[in-house]
Amino acid sequence: MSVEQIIYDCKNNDRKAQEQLYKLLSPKLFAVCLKYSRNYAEAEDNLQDGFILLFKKIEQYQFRGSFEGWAKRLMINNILQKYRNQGVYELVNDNIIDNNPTVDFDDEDVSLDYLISIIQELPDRYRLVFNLYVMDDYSHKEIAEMLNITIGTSKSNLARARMILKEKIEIQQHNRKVSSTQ
Amino acid sequence: MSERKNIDRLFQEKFKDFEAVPPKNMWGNIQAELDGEKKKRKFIAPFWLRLSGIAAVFLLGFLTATYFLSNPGKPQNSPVVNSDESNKNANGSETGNKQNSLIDRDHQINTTAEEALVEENAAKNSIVNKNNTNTIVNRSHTENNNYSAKKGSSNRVIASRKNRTKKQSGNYIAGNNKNGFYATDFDKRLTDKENDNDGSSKNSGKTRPFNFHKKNNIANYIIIPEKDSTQTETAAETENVLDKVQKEKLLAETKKIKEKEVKKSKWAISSTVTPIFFRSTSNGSPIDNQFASNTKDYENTMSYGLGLRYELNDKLTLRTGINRLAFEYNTNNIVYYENANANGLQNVSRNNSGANIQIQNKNGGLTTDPNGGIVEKMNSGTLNQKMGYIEVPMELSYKLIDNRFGIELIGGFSTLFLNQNKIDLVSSELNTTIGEANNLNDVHLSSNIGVGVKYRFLKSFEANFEPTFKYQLNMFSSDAGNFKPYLFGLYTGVSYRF
Repeated sequence: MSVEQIIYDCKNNDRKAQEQLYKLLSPKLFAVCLKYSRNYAEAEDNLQDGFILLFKKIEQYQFRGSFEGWAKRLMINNILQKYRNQGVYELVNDNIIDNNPTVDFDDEDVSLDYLISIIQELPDRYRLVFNLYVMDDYSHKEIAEMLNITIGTSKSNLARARMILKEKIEIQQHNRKVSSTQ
Repeated sequence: MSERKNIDRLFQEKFKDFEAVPPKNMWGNIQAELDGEKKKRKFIAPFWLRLSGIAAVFLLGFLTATYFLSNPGKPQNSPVVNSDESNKNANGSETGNKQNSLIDRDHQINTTAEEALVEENAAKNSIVNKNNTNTIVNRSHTENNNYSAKKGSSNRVIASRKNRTKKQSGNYIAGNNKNGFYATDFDKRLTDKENDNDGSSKNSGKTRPFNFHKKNNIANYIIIPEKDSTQTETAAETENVLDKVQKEKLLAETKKIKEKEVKKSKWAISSTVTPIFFRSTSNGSPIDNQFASNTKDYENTMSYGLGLRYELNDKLTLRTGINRLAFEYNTNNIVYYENANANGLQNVSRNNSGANIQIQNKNGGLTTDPNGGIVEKMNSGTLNQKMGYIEVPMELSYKLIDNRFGIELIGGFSTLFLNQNKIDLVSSELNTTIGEANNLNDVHLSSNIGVGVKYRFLKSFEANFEPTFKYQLNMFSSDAGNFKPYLFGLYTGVSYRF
């Protein structure tokens, strides 16, 4: 069955089609949730709520643009909405200049799992800004609107996030070297 | 091989084709919630049934009001009121409980729901955990198989995970200070997660073996659940399913109650019956300038309406609705006689019978007809002008006192749509409609200000009395003949919160 057909059936609230769509999209969307959430459990929650919302809103999908992109945006917006409701956006505004630090790393040894874990450990807004900007290609202007912050704050948050991530990767790399020389 | 990359590129490359299979029971949870939704929709039906109750309220409102108006002196003990009272009691006690919990609905409902959940959890956890430890042993085997089978065949990130994590965990055990940091940090995250799991009802709906997490270090984002089905796990799963179903039910119910309460606290409908006192602030005549100085008798009319109210916050309420409204007044001291060439009145479009009647001010001194002849027989009478409107108010009210007894200030405007327009000649000899006013706007506005007094006699029912002053802004399109109308209405009715 084509994706279009599945979507049509989902619009009619067909449970079988919904399950197919879930199987099709959940790995990608769960990846999104893992990146944007604080931990695994929260990512699960976000995926579950996101899919409920998706099935509710699928009627509004007009077959314009890729469905995957639409679903991803919906998932991201849903997560942002939750943070908005929780009011976790308050962070001290420090002005760091725009940066994109480089980091020494051994490609074999930097695991995806580790990268996810350090993203999740970022303060909420750093994590959101970093994900939106680096992973999902949103501009600072768009991010500022989505998170209700200024463009400057978005840039500064991104710089902070990068620095924290760089530090953590470097520590990990260092540990690896130390332990491998022993 | 070591290389240097900027952070953005590192992450972009690593996450380029990142996919992660969610836990196996996830679809079940989603399905359960979707089914819950359906149930919720079904539960709307009783709400619609309540509409019949609401209709009864309206009826009650009309009946009591008309009763009052026709027997102003008598007390209220009519059988109509009593019979409906018992209905309302039934209604009221039902809604009463809910209203109570509304007071701290977030706390109370959540706590009761959570208490139940926690208890359940406590009961089930031991079993689940036992099963889990079994599961984990099995699972680690099956995973080994999976990984070796998958190795090389797929370039998904998922497959390449296994060896690396082994290496990693080895390193962590070798542990120096820094490693210690990771280990503790990781443990902390674990306990956090476990806490989450106990605390929030949602998470507990998706119990997940966290031991698994610990064992495999952070590699567990990457799971291939379709393949690791084991018998021991199914036992745990059935526990989970039972658990889940109950919790979902509980959750659906609490959600439902919450939703109802939110609605209950915000929306109200009302019915009003209103004696209307229509006046003008100046002595003019919109019919013809010659009647400006004539005395006018204003008829008191009744307005009937339905209202809808939405509480914006504790103090402010937005009110709208729809009212039927009529203005009526008599212009006294006019004389008329029949004349085929009668002059019309300034602002009146005459109909056929009106075209043959000459009407003028009794004190005008004109006793000559338009053709110059002396009129011999003149009758005296009055002109009765009637204007009917459909009124749609848009008002805000601000609560000054809000207890069982309450006082509020009301302000806003109304849009009035003309639906009746006629002018009658009334005399002892002749009663006829002579035409309609041509200077009335089809739509006009009024600015409203009033004071509302309410008394809550049941949980969801309030009696309202709202003397309101409504100044008519642009009632007349052109020449209003210095006629500046306003109305004063005693808006009386019953409102029902739902």
